[in-house]
Amino acid sequence: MLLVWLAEAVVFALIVAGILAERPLALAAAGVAIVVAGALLRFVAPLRSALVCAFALHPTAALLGGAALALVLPLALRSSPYWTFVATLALLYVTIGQGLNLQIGTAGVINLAGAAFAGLGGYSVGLLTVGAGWPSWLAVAAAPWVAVAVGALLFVPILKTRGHYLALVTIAFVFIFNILMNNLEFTGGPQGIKNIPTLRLGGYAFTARPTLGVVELPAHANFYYAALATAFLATGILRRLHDSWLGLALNTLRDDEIAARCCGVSIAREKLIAFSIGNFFIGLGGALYAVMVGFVSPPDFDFGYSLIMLSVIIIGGVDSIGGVVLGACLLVPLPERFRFLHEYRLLLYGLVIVVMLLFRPRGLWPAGIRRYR
Amino acid sequence: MPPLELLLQQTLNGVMLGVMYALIAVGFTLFFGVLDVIHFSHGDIFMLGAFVGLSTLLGLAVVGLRTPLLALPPAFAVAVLVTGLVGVGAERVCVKPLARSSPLMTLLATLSLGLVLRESVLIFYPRGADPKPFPQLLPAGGFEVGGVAVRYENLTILAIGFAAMIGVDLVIRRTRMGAAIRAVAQDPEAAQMMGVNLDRTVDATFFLGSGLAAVAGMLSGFYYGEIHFIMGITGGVIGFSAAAIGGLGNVYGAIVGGLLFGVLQTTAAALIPRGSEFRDVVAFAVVMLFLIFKPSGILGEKSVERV
Amino acid sequence: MSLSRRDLLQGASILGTGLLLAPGRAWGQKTTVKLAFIGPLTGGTASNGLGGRNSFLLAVQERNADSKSKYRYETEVLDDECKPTVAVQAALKATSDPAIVAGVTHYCSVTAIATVDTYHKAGMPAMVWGAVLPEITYSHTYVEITRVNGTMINQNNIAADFAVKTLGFKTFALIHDTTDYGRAHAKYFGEYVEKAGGKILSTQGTAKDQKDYTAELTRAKGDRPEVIWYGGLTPDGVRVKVQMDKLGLRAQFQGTSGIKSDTFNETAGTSAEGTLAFVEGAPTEKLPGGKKFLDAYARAGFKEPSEAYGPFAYVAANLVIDAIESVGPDRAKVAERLKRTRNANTIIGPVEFDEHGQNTVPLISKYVSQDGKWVLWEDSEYASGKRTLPGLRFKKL
Repeated sequence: MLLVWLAEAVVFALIVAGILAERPLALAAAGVAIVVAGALLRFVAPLRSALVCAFALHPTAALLGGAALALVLPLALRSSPYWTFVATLALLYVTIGQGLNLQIGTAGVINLAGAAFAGLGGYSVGLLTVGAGWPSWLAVAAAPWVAVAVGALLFVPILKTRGHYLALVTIAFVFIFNILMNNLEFTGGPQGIKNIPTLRLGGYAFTARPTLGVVELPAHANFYYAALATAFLATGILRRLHDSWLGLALNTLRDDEIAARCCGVSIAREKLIAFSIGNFFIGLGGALYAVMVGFVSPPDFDFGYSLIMLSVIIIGGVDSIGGVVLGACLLVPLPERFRFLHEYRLLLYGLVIVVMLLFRPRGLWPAGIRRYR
Repeated sequence: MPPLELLLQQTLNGVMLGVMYALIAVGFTLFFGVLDVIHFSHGDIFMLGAFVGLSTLLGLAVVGLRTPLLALPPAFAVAVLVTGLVGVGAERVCVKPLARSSPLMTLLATLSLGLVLRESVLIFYPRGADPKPFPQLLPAGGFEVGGVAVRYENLTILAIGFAAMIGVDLVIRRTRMGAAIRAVAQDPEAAQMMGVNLDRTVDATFFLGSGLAAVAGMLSGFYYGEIHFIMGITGGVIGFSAAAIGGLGNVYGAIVGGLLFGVLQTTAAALIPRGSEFRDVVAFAVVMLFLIFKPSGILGEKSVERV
Repeated sequence: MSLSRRDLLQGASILGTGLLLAPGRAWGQKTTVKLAFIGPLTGGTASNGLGGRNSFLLAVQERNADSKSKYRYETEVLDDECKPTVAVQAALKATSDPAIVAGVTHYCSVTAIATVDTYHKAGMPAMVWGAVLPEITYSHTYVEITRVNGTMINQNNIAADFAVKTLGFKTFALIHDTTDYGRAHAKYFGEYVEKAGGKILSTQGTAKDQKDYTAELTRAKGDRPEVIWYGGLTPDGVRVKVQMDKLGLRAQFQGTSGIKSDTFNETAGTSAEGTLAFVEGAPTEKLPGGKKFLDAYARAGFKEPSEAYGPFAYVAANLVIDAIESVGPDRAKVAERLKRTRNANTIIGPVEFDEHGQNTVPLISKYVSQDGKWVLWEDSEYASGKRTLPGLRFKKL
């Protein structure tokens, strides 16, 4: 058990060091440390097997340790509101990724309109608060349902088309959503919706900087905790769903629709359930994003973001709950860390994705084989 | 309702646009035929073709070959050759190794490869961020028929475009390689058993499709007078849409789909109030409707599921 | 030239240490202050962002080379990709680094408007160098936000009056991109044209980076306008103009500040001849310091040209550095100082901020494209009567 916590603490220290290192020397030291740790894990077999064993033996302890470290992360990052913001964004991508993973990974319903459904959540919050005057917590609670309801428009194509054709339908949907948001008056046009009121619970504004005793946490810490709770809940719920009969049925119809039908799985019903649940979580992520940033605009939800969501689940591991968490926590902050590359950043990002797909096609944390109890 | 001559002019505008879409769409449909994949970086291959053509034309101008008759054939040849080889390279690196895994993999891999191609042109082409003027070598001037402005250049572009399509059609229907492509499209395993070399056939298909995209890229340069590194994004999405409404795997379907998409975009902008703002909404909505009511496209075969 | 005793002493001491020690050591005595630059370095508007970045870097290099500077300036260059989310992240990154005292920020209106609150919350002074949407300065009274370039309001007032009253055009067909930039330009230009007695025949919005404008142009052609006006940026402006000629549309072409770039003339080639464009500020080469700026820019050997807004980024960097030199590297003090800038002498002319931090000396220059160059209207052969604008020629037919 101690070994588990020790390992987690080392990983945590490495991450924080990697994030906060600013001077070239410190950055290089952090980089070398990470590479050394990775190499140790890769090439020293006893260490690896000891760790694997320890984690397998104490899953609860591992989870508790991870949760504790996630809770203290803002404390470690308190010198930098920027990195707290990025960490929060990564957690929102966990929520979104879990929803998308149920659709794409578990049910095989290809959805390249993730950005549009996140946008539906975000825009709903904007319209309900700024336009209709709702309190923001109520708007955040209602917004995911809008994503689910609008998603119903795609029910027919989802049942009628498959594979590449379905990919095209959802691509078309993202483009249509984006053009409409940009050109309609009531959505604020290209400027989007500004001054979305922040979350308030019992008079406590989430933008206030929380203090723990003497230590003041960075500005986005409240949202970090809200996003952490949401991501935790989403992961828990979707893990349960994945392991349930629904998940099994979805896996069956993903792998072979005809065989699934022969086993008594209702294709239409299961697909629509998976699609709607997925959209709920994607919309929730978008809604939280809107109250955190305080504005929404069309370029925030364009096709490019659909691709980032897709790469989160593919690089993490398709149909793998843990993979989504890992993918989001790597793919969101890493490109930010490499911002100093300027023009070369996107080029490198594309290359890395291609290389990863070629050498780890099943993702960093491949989905395990189902265990039946 | 606008007067007749404007309607005719708009139709011509749409057809010009459609020819370029069709050339891109044929590539999508060919690749789908042999490997059952969507090669999403094809839009950026189209962009690359335009830049290779431009560089060749500039190089030829330095040597002194400036007249259209001397400069055009080598420029087209080099663009088709280089772009075709890049297409084959993309297939070898990114498409073929992933063709057997889920379509998601090729989707993400080729989209990322497209990003790499695009950013490479932006960074490594001299001042790649700017739109680049394209030499105007096609015959200038034109005539008016009943108020419709027809330029000789438009006619040349249509001629080259259709010639390229007929060429591809001949290759597919009359040559051994074409027979191999058709055989692989129908049933790769049976084709291999009959002695078709699968790898070579796939390479040839990607060479053919990418070469066509290069022709489309150069025609786009001649038609609009400039090329820009981001032209592949819309080119790719629209090319794929055109191939899908035509029926993936069917070359004639892709041509029909391309022309249809071009005319659709133009008519939407021409006839609907505020149409120019929403023309892509109209076009994509029609694509969605097509896929719902005719899921296998206009000319696509009805697929029968086998267990 | 007058040198104060302090300057002489400082110069002498620096010279002395420079001679005694390695030349680099002289810098070591100064405190380091960091400045941020944010603009679009990738994507469709990258050429403008890179031009602005180079101009900013040039200003900082010059001040670092100047022995009179009290501080040594370091730079942090960030890419906003012309996207609001990315811009907010970049702004957060800049504001959360305590070493960064001030920023020269944003070319795209959508990113500038999105980050206003971020800078305000962090209390970091940010000077906008290229975005022209009025709301960026006029929607609030934050002390942190200032803007060296003018807004689109004055630009369109002058442009509409010039087209209708001076040149005598009566009918206009407007095409604009559907970003903030294009939409707002079309709104203000349309209003001022009608006020001046002109008539707007049609207004069409088009997607940014659209390739084909033949449908929109053919539709406009049906109304037989005297002027086709485009509100948008260079790549699209080139396409509109070139396709106008190919469709045989006989009308004057007029654009906004977005097309006044060297790239427009280079890419449109002969089609560019006789195009009108309007830009805030006097032309760089006409100003006392402008020639020096262009020469220094050329000498610095940047890969990309400075483009129309490069001088603004250069001036913004200089104003920020001036403020730091006078009040020290403290965000709040620098912001106060910048907001009170009055009658500052710069290469874009005198700069003076109103209570919103908006530069109020917006000299609008009228340009016409002549032989592949942007020429000030007053100096052009079109004004002297040697040549006739295409639009006026068509009117006579």
